[in-house]
Amino acid sequence: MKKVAFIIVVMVLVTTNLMAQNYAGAMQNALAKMGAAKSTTDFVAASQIFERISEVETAKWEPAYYAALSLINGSYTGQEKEKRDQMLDQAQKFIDTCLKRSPENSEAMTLQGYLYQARIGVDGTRGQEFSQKAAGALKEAMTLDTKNPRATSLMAMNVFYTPTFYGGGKENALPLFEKAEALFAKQQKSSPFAPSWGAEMNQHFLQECKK
Amino acid sequence: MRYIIPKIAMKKIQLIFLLIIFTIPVFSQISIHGKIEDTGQHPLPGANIYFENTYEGTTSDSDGVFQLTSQLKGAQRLKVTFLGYVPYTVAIPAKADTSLVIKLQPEHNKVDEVVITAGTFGTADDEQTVTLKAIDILTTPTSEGDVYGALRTLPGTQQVAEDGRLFVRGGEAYETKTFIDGMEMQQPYSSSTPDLPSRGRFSPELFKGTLFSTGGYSAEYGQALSSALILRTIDLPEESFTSIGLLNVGVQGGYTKRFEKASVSASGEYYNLGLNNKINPPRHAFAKDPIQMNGLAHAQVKLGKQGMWKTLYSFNHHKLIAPYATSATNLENVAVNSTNHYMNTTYRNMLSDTWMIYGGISGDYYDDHIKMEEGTYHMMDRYSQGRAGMKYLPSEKVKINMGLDANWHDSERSNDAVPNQKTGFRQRTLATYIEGEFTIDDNWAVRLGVRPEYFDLLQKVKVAPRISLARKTGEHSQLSLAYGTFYQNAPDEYLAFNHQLNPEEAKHFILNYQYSYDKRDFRIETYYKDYQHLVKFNMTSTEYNPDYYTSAGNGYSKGVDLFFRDRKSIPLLDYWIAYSYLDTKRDYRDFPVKATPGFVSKNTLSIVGKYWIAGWNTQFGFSFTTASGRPYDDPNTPEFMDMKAPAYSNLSLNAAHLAYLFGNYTIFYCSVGNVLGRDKPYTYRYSETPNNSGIYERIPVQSETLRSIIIGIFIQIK
Repeated sequence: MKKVAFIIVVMVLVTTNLMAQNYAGAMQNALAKMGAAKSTTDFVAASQIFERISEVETAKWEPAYYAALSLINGSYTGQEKEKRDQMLDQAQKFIDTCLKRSPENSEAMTLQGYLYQARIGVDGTRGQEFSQKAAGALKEAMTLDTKNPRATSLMAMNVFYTPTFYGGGKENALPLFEKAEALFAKQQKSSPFAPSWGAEMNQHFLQECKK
Repeated sequence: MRYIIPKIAMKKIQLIFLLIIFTIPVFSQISIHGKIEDTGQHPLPGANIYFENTYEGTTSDSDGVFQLTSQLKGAQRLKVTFLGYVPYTVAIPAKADTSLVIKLQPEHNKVDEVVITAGTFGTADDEQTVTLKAIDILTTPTSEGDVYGALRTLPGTQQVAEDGRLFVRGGEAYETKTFIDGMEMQQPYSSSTPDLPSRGRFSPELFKGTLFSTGGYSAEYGQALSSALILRTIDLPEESFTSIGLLNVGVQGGYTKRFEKASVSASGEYYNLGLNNKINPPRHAFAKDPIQMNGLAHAQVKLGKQGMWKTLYSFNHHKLIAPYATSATNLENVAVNSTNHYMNTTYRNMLSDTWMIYGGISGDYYDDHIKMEEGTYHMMDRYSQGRAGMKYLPSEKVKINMGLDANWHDSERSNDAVPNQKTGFRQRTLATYIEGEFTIDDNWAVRLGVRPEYFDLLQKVKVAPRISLARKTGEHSQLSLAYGTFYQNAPDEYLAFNHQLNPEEAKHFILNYQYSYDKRDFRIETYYKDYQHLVKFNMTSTEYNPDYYTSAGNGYSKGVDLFFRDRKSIPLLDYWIAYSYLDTKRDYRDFPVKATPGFVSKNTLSIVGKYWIAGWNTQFGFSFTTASGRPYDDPNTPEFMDMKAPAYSNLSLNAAHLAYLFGNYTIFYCSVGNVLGRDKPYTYRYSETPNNSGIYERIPVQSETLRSIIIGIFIQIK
């Protein structure tokens, strides 16, 4: 009987391991697709791989997170306003899923702020409304995790694009970008697929501020 | 030969088999190719096509074509999702080479969905509907920061400049009710003397959404014959701040503290027209310059994910002694001293994904003293309301709303010149409502509601049905129809004398067409209103006999309202044009015959424009309103209401400059009303008694100041 128990244990290990490898493989594949994406179609396709994973792995928040991220990044590549807003509507659904699976998740809140900023990208006249919304979400993300470099970096961008007379501009954004840079240097992945993007973009803006 | 397999080995073999089944894929293959289309046979590129509960899938190409091969064993379910379309699932047999053409149905689209619009100027949350946000109200020049002032630039409203209240589609001012978070606010205007316009008690900044309905509104709201103004207070503000305002007419200040899941704020306002009256003197000097004090405190607490508890208290005190012309030469001083306390508390939360509950209680207390030469009138009114309801939202296409609404009203009227003539009443009404809103095949929306209401004084139940229908006529346009019956208690001043007066009744028929796309809105609405049971009194009998007042009055209103708003054609210019045509006659109050009441203009036109100059950080606004002359009665002639006052027109300008002073966000504001200095009376009154030569003297009703000027600085400190 000992042998039977052993075989069962092995079997269980083997199958879960296979599934885990499958998840990791699928995620890596999708992340690579997203990393290489250039056109709207590429970003949508990458997002759809994450969506499929998300549908199966209903306990994990990361697939939904990347499904949203890919669409938000993709929205900047689009031409038609209506289409771009539709992508963001879909991304919003993924963020909602993400927050449902992992409430008070600083990364998901950060992504919410990032999405609001993308709404301004679609239509500049929404600036006033959505920069406030973005600031609200990013502030919450920063409270949820004080060491989240992406929250700080995106907040810095919010300040960067706010007119100087409202308290924005390069000078006011610079200390925040510097803070984000320090946080990026120290960031540690809590799980294999925890978000880690944003350092390059932060660097770019840091240089802009110093010009 | 027989092999004897030991028992334990047998088990092992079974397990190995099991293991093989679990871990080694069966070498069968599924392959599908096909095309994804919409219902109009247009290819849908970028659709997500995958086997349900697996990672395996693909994306359709630019022709909507896809090819999917998989090592999965057995029959599978294929799922297709595409943004804006209903997800589609189909069973796929375990064989190679399945060919499919999949048609996706468009999803119920939120942005251009068919909505009930007849009679309604929509909420601030939705970009697509015709909207007035707090900022729109504050920057509309004729509004002078007043909610009601801004609404008077929308179609369906009348220009009754000496009054300041909202008169909608031939209805009197009391026929428009204001609801704050669903709770009735009985007298949302500050008290005033005759001929001095009153203003709203609340700052527009308190509200996140304004829904102005000029007819045919939901069964959730009652006790309003003509119109409902549904205001929703703000949720949690983004952060803590202090605000200070300095004006030529007073000072204001407030503090808001934001906590993680709650916020509290308190603010106060003190207005004194003394300084202003010296610089910009009124036609007749005030014996005591108007003073007004307002206090407001409110708190919001977020409960869970979607729950919200709000409470609001406001205090308002108003004092003035103003001249009132009783004849062409004689001025009489009228002193007003009025106090109001208002409190409401509301709660809403989701019980589950589909059930929402809401409710609230409110209390409203008014104490007004009006001193005239003939004596001091004292009016006391106490209102309380309790409301509870629930909404069932099983899908985006079905909404059911039902609830209970109870009202208490105590009223007392006295005049110290006539002792022992205290009148008053206590009225209780209890209403229930149930309403369902259904969207059918994406093109039709129907709203069916009913509101039975019990009137305590009459011991009668009145049932008010409400029906609305909307049909999409194009991608961005729709046609709506609405019908409804509306009841409202007879006005307090008459109910005080005769408790058996029927509630006044109005029936609305509305037809509306609306086109709304990309920051351009156009709507045209035509309506017919039938009034019954209006209060009527007989001039010949004595005033204190209850029979003097009856419910025998009636009338009608019909007209067309046009509205066009454009925020697109010229960048940074936002303008709207509103035109109303109104034909109405009533036989009510002391009218000897059916006639058009004195507050009605046949034609009214408003044009409002706002232009933002980014380089200067300044917004300029103009509004121009003109209305044809209102009828009035000359008691020296036998005909009734046959005279016409001069046409009304007003051009107002304002400018708001944004600056960032000492690290704080600051607005410099200036507005001038009636820039052109048009000096025509709004209408005429006549003295109550004839003069020595037996003639009733004509008294012009006009604004106390020729041009109104407001200058202010508003600072927000974070």
